Amino acid sequence: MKLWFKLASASALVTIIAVNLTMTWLLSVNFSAMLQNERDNAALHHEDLCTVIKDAVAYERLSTDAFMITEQRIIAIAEKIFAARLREDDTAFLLNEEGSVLTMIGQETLPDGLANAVADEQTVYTLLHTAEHHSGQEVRLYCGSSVRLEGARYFLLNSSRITALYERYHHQERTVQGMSLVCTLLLSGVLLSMTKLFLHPLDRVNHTLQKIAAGNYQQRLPSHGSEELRVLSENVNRMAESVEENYRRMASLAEERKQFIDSLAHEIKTPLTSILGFAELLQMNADRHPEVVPDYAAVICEEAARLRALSGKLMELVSTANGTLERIPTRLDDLLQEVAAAFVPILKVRDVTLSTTTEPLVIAADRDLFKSLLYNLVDNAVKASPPQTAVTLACHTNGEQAVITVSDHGQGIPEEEQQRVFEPFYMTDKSRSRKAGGAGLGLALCAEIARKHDAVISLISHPHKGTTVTVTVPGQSVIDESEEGGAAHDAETS
Amino acid sequence: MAEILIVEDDEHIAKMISITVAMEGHHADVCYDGLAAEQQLRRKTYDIILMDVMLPGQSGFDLLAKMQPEDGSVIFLTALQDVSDKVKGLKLGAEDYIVKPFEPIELLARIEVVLRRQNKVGTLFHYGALEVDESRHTVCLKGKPVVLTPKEFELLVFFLRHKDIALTREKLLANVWGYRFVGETRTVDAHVQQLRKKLSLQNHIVTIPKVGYRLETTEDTL
Repeated sequence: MKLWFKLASASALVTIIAVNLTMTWLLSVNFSAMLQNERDNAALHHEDLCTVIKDAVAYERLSTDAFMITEQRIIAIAEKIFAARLREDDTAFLLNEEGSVLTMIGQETLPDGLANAVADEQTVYTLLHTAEHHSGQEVRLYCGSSVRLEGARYFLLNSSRITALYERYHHQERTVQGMSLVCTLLLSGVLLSMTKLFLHPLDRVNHTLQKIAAGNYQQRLPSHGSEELRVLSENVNRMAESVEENYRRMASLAEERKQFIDSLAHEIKTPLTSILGFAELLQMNADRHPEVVPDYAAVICEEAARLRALSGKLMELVSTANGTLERIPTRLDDLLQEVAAAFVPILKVRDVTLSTTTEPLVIAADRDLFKSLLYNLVDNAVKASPPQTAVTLACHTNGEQAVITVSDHGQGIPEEEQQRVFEPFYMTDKSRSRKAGGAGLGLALCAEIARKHDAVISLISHPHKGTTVTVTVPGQSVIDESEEGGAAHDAETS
Repeated sequence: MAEILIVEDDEHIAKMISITVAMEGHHADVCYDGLAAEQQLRRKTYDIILMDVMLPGQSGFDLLAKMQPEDGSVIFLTALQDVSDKVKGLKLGAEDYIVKPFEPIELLARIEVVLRRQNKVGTLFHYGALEVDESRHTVCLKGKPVVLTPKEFELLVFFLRHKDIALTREKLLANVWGYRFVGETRTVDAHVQQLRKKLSLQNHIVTIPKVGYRLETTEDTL
């Protein structure tokens, strides 16, 4: 059952029961009061009747100057008075001490046992009596008392019809019922339409939620209306926002992953195609044309080396991303010197100089990984450098942070590509970097190592002037070694 | 035979493809990026264009969208294995889609299929005293018909198509019998024996140790 229907029916039901009970109670209280009133009146009337008869009997005795008037006369007097005093539909009885009816007016028979009841009572006795009549139920109110006339004891009884009172009561009851039925219908209608109107905004909430559930994550609810609805709308909106954000994050993660896998597949398949192709070409006609063998074999070796470089870098990247760091206090200046020393043979071949400027600095770092980071940066810089230019490797502290810079005077990186160079497999000059054995993973690896050390890696490049990569190690990783206090150390390796 | 344009940014792969198609007597030009290929196509039309998808300059898909049907039939060579990429390539009008890494023989077979569709493949072979009509399924040695089983005939045609190329038993099995597994190589040996005997090719189908067989061009077959 719908909520608005439940709310409306429940309130309608409660209201109707309350109204009905109140009206019925009022009606019955009113009725009892009226009935009591009727009884009092009837009793008064009865006493009046008795008094009149007593007076008439005394008057008769005095006017006839008799000692005692006969029972005959008493009956006649009673009959006369009954006729004069009684209203239409009223009845009256005069009974002697034995309970036999001496005279009566009206069509009624006396209810059984009434005479005895009257005999036991000292005052006026009243009784309600219901009798089945040919025109339906008839209710009469009987009053009776004993009267002493001329020494003898008589019973005087009279009754009046109060069916009208009951009828009026029943009529009122029916009217109340009819009215409450009409009220029920009206009230239900009003309540139903009102609750439906008040709860209508819930439909809107529901509609929006359905859209969100169907994947329309940017749907929002307008936050106005009654307070509960406003709070609900705000909460729904907040939920939708977090769902949307999570969805975006997951979608971009999935996209990144897909890109990574696509690139990886490409980087693996390209050398494999050459290896497989040239190996088969050797199989096909190397026996008849031995002169092609060195050429084809060289290609196979070169491409295999490329695959080896790729797998090595890939393993490094994966183990860096998943491994845990062993951060120990490390002399950064020593590390720089070690890296510089490793490049001596390559620098000779390429005719490039490497100058190192260091300050004594100690940072908390994983020595091997951080060395790999520096090595990769210098390697990139050396590969990018034309002959007879210099690469500079420097570290200094700016108070809190340790700053490492690697600069070259190479071709530089176009501005639109500078953002992407830290992405895996991104190469600015594919054919050249492949010839140099690059897999496009060096800078991605550097970025991963820096991230693991909470360091920030950034790149500034000016086309045709050169590139500078800066690694900033945060303050908490720089260990103050003031006792060292040595002077800056400069060196040039060539 | 056919004019082929190779559009491939990897030098080694481009070289490998050139050597492969040259073995079948095709002539190949090489472009290393999408823009150079577009210019080359303005100068010359080709029977077949072997094209990488991820190219510097512009992608293979972009280039194909700009091409005219008379520029040549395109076969994509790509590392992308996504079905949607494949569908995209074929919808753009490519004839075929080869996923890297591929074998040279496979490439030749795909090229042959496209050339056959263009009716640019001969079905008549002359080899010494041997005359083979592939479409009519007949073999004549010195003018006399010779009866061959269907597989023997297919094997013979495969040798004739790939003259002077050493073919491994595995490759023969895969291309003639359609088997993709290693081991049933004795079937190949048996059929080669039959061909040698029925067509007097003992000195022409040469056994190459550790590799397989080669149908060689000699002075008497030219």
